[in-house]
Amino acid sequence: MRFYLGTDVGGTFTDLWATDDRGNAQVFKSPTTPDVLTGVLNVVRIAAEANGLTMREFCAAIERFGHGTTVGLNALLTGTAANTLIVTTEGFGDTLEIGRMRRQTAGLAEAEVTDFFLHNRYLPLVPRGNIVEVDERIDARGQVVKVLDENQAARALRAKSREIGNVEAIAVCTLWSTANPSHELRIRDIAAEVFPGVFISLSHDVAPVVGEYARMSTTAANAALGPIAGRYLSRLQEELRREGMRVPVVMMTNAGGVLPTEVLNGRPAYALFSGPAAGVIASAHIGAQIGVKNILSTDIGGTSFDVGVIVDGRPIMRREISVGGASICIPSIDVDSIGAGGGSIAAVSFGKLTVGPRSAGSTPGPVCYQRGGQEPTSTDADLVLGVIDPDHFIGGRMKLDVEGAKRAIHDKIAKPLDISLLEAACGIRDVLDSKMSDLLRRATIERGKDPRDFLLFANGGAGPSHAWALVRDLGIRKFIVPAAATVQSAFGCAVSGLGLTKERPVYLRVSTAGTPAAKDLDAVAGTLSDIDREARSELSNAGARGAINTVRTLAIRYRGQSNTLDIAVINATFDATAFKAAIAEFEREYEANFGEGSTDAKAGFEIVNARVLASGVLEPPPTENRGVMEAGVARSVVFDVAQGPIETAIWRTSFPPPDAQVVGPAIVEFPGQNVVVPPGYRAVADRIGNLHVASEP
Amino acid sequence: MNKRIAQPETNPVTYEVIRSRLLAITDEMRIALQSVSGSPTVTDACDFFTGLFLPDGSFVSMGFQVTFQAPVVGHLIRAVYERKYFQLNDGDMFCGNDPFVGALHQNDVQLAGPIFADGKVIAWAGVEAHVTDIGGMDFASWSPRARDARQEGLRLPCVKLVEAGKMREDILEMILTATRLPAQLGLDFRAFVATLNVARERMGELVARYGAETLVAVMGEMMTDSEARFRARLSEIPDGHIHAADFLEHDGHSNELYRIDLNLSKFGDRLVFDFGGSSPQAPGFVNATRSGLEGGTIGSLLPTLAYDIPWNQGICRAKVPNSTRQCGGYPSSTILQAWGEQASREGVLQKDTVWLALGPKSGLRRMREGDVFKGRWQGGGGWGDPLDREAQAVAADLKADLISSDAAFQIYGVVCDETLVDEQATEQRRAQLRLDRVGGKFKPADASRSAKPIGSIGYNLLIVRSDDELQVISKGGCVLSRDSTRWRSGAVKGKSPLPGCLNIRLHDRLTMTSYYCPSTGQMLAVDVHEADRNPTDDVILDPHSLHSADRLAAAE
Repeated sequence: MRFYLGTDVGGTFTDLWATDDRGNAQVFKSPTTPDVLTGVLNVVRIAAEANGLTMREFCAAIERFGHGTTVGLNALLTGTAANTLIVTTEGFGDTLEIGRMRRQTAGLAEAEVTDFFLHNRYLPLVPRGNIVEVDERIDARGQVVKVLDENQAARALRAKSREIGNVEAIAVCTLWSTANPSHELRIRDIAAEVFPGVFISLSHDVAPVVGEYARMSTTAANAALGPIAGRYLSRLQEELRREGMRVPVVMMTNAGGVLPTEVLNGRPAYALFSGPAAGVIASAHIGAQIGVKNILSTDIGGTSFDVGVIVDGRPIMRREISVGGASICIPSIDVDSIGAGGGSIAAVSFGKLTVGPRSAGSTPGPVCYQRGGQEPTSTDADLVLGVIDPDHFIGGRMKLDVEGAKRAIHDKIAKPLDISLLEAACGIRDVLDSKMSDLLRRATIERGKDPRDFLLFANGGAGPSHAWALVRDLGIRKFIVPAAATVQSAFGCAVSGLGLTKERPVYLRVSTAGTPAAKDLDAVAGTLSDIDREARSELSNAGARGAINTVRTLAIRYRGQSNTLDIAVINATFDATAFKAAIAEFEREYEANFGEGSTDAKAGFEIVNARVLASGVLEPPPTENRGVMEAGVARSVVFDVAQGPIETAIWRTSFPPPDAQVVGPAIVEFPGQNVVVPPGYRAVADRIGNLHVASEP
Repeated sequence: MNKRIAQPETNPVTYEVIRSRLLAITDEMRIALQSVSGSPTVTDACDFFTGLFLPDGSFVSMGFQVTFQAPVVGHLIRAVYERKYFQLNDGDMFCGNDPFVGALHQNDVQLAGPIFADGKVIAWAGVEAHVTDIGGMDFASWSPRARDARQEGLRLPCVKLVEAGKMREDILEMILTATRLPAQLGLDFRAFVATLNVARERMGELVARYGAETLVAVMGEMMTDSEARFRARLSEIPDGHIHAADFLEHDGHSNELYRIDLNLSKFGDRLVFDFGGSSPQAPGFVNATRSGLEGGTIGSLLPTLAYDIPWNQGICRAKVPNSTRQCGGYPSSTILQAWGEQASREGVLQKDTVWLALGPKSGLRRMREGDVFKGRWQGGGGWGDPLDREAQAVAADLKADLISSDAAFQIYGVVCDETLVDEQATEQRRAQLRLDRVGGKFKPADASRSAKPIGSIGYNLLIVRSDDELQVISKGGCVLSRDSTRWRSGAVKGKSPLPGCLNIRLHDRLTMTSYYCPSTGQMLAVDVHEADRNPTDDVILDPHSLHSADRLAAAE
């Protein structure tokens, strides 16, 4: 017997999804531990026991060990990352402090923006005192303007070493190192002499982008994570090897696609968002299995609602993400998020109902958890509405307090608003659902897509019980609850292929009518084929077998804009024909995104970046479906306040058998989630355990 | 339990759903604008505004970029209705940038369009952004030499740019002919159209879902809700008058001093802003029109008094701007500007550079490759007495290069070697400085121990009640005023010259007065004022309203 495993470390639970070589899928959870590693080993041990094996026998039978974790993210957000030095060009020591003046308000909740007291909460990743300026200068063409003063650099580093002590990591980020890395490489050697054995990141290697702020903050984050993430991953690998595992741990990256930990040891920032990325990859994988190409991959947990958008089978990416107020310029799957989930708190102020973004989290949690929560939450509303069975929550492992939830909603919501208890509970659900719809609309419409062209995949503990309201609101035909919906990130880590991105800045400016000179086109073509070759060779070193596919894209914009679109280069070489095709595709996509009449070729075009996304196949684990579904005791559930409570069929399963059908009104209870099938809808299980819920024709 | 909700269109759930949706639409407008715009002022500096309005020009929801712009687009909308020759069609969009209609300056170009439902205008969508160049005598339409608004760029009072969904290409061409950056401005106008289209589509969906009546009812209720909450906030604050004066120097031609004077009265749930004491109009580019004044006033109010109240025009109903005199512009006395001719080679600053100091508003200069313009700002305003700041925090500021070692010693009284603080020497120096401030002798503290604090002015003045008498006392226990909050009369007045290390040059007509606690030498306030005028009391509270606030507190 062989096993394929995916593990994902979340804030509360460490999840494990496993399947054997006959396709029996299993799901396990264990509390996350402060050191992370113990929690991962615990959940592996639980899986071993469940299969009647010793830890040793189980580990020896592991064929794949995929992993995702937010260890790095938490370290950055809580300021527990490594003590890091930055080495930069003279005169650029204030780059991180200045940033982009932090006037961006995107993604913040209303209250976070209007209350200036909440502004500027984040300190720079590396304090000003940890920055060393060195005498050197390279210009935009890559020419050395001022030769690196090696003695000065060594002196400055030694002085800093005496001053701050205990340096664990160094980020080297000099001006225009992307055009000529020679000074960064030399500084690395000098730094390695002054600080033997210290983790060093070079900006031209980690974040080869134009613009010194994003490049520096990315390199600083990477360096600050290096010692922590590297130590953690090598210990994980070592522990599992000691227990007999023969395969390497493969880690999910921000861009989707896993890589062996050795490849990532030098660039931990590439795996910073492995959890959310794995969730979207899971949806894309299931989509490929069942022939769905346009997917809204959603996850509703206790505190946040996450959305990834998959178009034509490929997750939408972004060039830059923001962590703790710092820009991280690494190609990543774009996951939008708002504070809305089961723990979102409902309140009345000045006669108006508000829900979220404040959350009760898991402690104290909703009132019905009886852990001291006093304020009614979305979960309390779901309980009052009959969506959740108080005696069968998480498979009956936790009893919920219905009376407490009722009391809280009555006292804090219904009474002050002078409405009935059910109206209040429905109101809480409606307000929360509408906020989630708003995010789904923004995530699609912002990119020129119509939400009705997508199917919604509902993941996370609360996802399957709210999905029906979201699809109804957005006019989406159907939602699908994946078989592994409660552990989708772990599932994504288990099934993902290898993936690696390489990028490099290029610069090509074209006026309206002109075709660029052949030598300028050749320069872009050369860069594209260089990074294509590098990506292929790194991926085959990482263990890819068989064919490696690459997708080559160029970042194009109108002259003067700062926003770019990534346009795929389909032609084998980048000549005048390919250039014209790319520009035509840019204008077409631009108009699709921003509306008819928004294009303006008169402005001219700029090509600023080249990227290659390489993917290699890892043998996918088999999946087969052998579950059963049993009828439970029917109960009253409120779907609509005007209709009031209606008798609703209850079904229980942990894995719906193929072709099982449920006609709404019904609730299908899984351990850890309830799929709500409203009146007029029908749920049908496919051959691999996904539940498809659509309105009756 | 089975009570019906009063009116379906105003139930709290629909209200909150639509309110969040309107905010989301405003943000979707921002996304469209930033994605398409060609101006770095929009894409990077975020100098723009998006919002939804009622047909009377009130803003219902606003983006969170430049708050000063919130009431401004409303003027353009009202201007459309005032021009009877306009016929409003679905898909029309109107453009404007005239400060005498509604704009802070000509660079602030706006586009607004009506949103129709069932053949009636139910709302407007508006967008504004600082474009880089809109013509005028100097590049970037930023002209210290200007004597007249006509020299500062093309003025568009209220022009129909899009007619029933079709761009008026003739008008666009005319506008683009006036600018030095036609391609960039062309993209900006496309961005404006895309922004309004986003709003029109989304509002259309809301109407289809909830009906125009419900949408209009919710928008109206959002206003009354914010108004009620803002009035409640005002009622919590004691009644009284606040006086403040600030100054602008140099009008682009001569180094005149201009006073911006505000008398703010607060009574009950009303705030009245009176700028009547300000200087008359200047013959240069430092003036502001009424819409600029209104934008500045409301924009400052939102984050200070309405930080937890949804932002819309309802807040401004509690407020009456009262004068059409000028204010606005940039004070330059605290920025030291210098010019280094050929000071850099290949981006590297030359060590032997000779810096030429530039006066305030030095105007347009031609820059060649290698020339360097240097601007050096002062630190932000302080809070409290610099001698009270922890010595370690001062040392950290010094280490971070935020202050000089001279400033640490002179202003903060901190004695340190590089960044190592000599605690004892610091204590001694601070004690000496405090004693020097009051002329070498402290007056004994005279506040009663049974005095009960009922309020505060800033961080080091307490309003107390002692035997039924209202007093302002210093933290050091010295009674400064009785039966009034005009506390300055009881403090020690000092006129010390500005320490050189502050890097601040005051205008010839200005001087500075400091106030100290007679019992401890603690600094209580610093006033910058005209040398020939005495500083005035800035916080004059109504003692009766303080007593009632006190009773309120006692009752709780």
